[in-house]
Amino acid sequence: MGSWEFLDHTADVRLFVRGGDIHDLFITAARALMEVLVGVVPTGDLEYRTVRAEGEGFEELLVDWLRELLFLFQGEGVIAVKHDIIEIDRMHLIARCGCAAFDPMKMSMATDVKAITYHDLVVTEDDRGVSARIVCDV
Amino acid sequence: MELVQRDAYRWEVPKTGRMAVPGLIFSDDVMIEDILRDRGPVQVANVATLPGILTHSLAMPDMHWGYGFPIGGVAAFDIKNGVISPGGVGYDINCGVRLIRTELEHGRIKKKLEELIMELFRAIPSGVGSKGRLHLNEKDERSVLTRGARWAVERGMGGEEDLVRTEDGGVMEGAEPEALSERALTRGKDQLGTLGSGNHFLEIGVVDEVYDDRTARAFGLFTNGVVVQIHSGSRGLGYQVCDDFLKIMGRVTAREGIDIPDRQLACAPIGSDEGREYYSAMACAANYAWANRQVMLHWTREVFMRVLNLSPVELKMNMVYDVCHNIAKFERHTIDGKKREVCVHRKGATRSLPPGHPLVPGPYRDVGQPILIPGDMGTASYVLVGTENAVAETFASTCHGAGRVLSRKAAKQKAQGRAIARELEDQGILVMAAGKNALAEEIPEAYKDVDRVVAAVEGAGLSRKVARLKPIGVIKG
Repeated sequence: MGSWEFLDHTADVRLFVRGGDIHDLFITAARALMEVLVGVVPTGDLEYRTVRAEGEGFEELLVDWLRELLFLFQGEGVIAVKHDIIEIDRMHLIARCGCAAFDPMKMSMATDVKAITYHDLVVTEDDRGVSARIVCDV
Repeated sequence: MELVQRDAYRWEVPKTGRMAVPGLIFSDDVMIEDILRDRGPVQVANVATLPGILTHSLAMPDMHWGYGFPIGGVAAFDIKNGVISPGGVGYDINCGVRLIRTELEHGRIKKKLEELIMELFRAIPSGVGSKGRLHLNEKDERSVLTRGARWAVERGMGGEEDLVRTEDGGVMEGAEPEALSERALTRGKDQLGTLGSGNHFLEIGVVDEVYDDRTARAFGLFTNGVVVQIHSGSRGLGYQVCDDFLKIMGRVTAREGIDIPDRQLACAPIGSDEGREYYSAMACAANYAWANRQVMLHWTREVFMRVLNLSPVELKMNMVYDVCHNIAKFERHTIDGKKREVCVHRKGATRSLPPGHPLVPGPYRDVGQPILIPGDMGTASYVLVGTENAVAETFASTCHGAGRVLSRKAAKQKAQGRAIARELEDQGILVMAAGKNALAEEIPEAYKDVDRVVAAVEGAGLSRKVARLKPIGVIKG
C-alpha cells in the first residue's frame, strides 16, 4: 500500500508519491489525484470504465495515466475511485476503473487541477520501492 | 544563482552555458529576496536557451516559480528561426482581466452591496468544474472559437463599444477549430459564462486614488466611482489545448534536435506544421476566453440594473478595457534599429502600449493603452497606462498582478483556524466563495505586495500609475 504527501510549490500542487512497485505507485498516484480533486473520495454506485495510457517510459506513462483520470473528471463528470491495473509496461497501461458520478451538490469540491505537468517530473526506484514527484497546475 | 544588479529595478542573469541571450529580471531590493528563494531565475535562464530568442529572457516584478517558463515571463522569438511554446503561454490561454466603470459613487450602492454580491454569485457560475447557463451546440461553439467576444455581442450580450475597448477587438485572427481535439471541444460546450476557480474572481470595487487625472478621465474613472473587475480565462477548453500540444511538441522537440532543460519547455519551430497548428488552436482558446468574459459582463450588467433598478443610461456601465495576460502574439518590434516580426510570449505579463501607438484603440490613442493589474482580494488593484520605454525594452510588456509568494499549502496552514471571510468583512470587504479552500488559499499574505510590484514597473519605466482600486465585494471561484 503506497503513500503520498504534498510538497511545497509557490503556485501549484506538487505531489510526492511512493509505492512498493510500479503497479502500486500508479494506483497510489491515482488516489492522490482524487484527494486533490475532491478531498474525500465518494462511495456509492460505481460504473466501470477501461482507461488506457501510453508513453515512452514510466514518467511519461504516469503523466498520461493521470491525465486520463483528470479528463474523466473534468470532461465526463465522473470520478475514478477504484483502480485496477490490468496491464502495465514502460509504454502502455490498461486499467479498469470504478467511477462514481460527481455531484457537486453532495460532494465536496477541492482543487481545480488544470493539468498534470511534465515539470520537475521524476520516477525513481530504490530498495524501498518506487517513488515519483509530480506537479499539477492549479 | 548569481544575479548582477544593474540599477534599482534591474537584475541581469548573466549569459552562461547554453543560454543564447542573458536574462533580465525587473524587481526591487525587497522582492528580489523572494525571487531568489525559489526557482524562478533558473527558469529565466532555461527560457534563454530556446532557439531564436531575441535580446533577453525577461521577467516582471510579480514573477514566481512556474513550470517550464516562469510566471511573469516574457520572451520574443524570431519568426524565421524561432519557436512557439505552449508552456510559454500557460494552461489558461488568454487568462485576463476586464474592468468596467459605472457612473455610480460608492454611497449609492452601500446598502445594496450584499444583494448585488448574492445576485452576481447566483448569475455567474463559479467554482471547480462549474458549468454555465449556456450550452453550446457544435455550430455555436465553432462560432465562439472564431469570432470571440463578437459572438456574444451578435447575440445581444453587449455592444460594439465593448469590442473597441477589448485587446485585439476581442477576436484573434487565425483561429481554426479543426486544430482542436475532441476533448477540448467537449470541455468547451458547457463552460462558457463561468468564472472558474483558483485565483479567478469577480469584484466590485471603488476608485480609491487617482494619480493621473487626464488619463483617468479618458478611461472613465473618478475618485470614489464604483467599478467591476472580471478575472477569468478560457476554462477547460484552454487547459486541454495546452495539454494536447505539450504532448505533441514533446515529440517535435526531439525530432528537431532541440535540447531543452525541462520537458515543460517543449516547443516547435514557428513555421512548422505543429507550430502553426498550435497557434490556430491557441487563437481558438483566446477567442473562447474573450467570449467568456463578454458573457459574464452582460450578466453583471443585468444584475446591476435589476438590483439597483437603474437604466443603462443611468448606470453607464462601460468597459474600460480587457487585457490578456497569457498569450503568444505576432508583433512588430524594433531590434537594433531594425523592424522585425517576432512572436512574443507573455505568460503572466500584460501588453503595455504608449500614447500614439497604432494598436491602441481610438478612444485611448492620445493617452495610451489601459493596463489592468489585479491585486489580492484584501488589498488593491491598479490601472496603469503603457509607455514608450516598454516598447523599447520589454517588447511592450509589463506585470500582470501581485504574484504569489506562499504556496497554496503554506497559505492554508497560515489560514487555519481563522475566519478569513470575517477578517475581510471587518475591513469592509464582502466575500463569497464557491470552493471551501478558495479563501484560505487566496489569503492576502499569499501574495506579493501589489503596491511594490506596481512601484517597480513604474520605476523601471514599463508603465505608469493611473488609479488604484479598492475591493468592496468579491466573488471567488
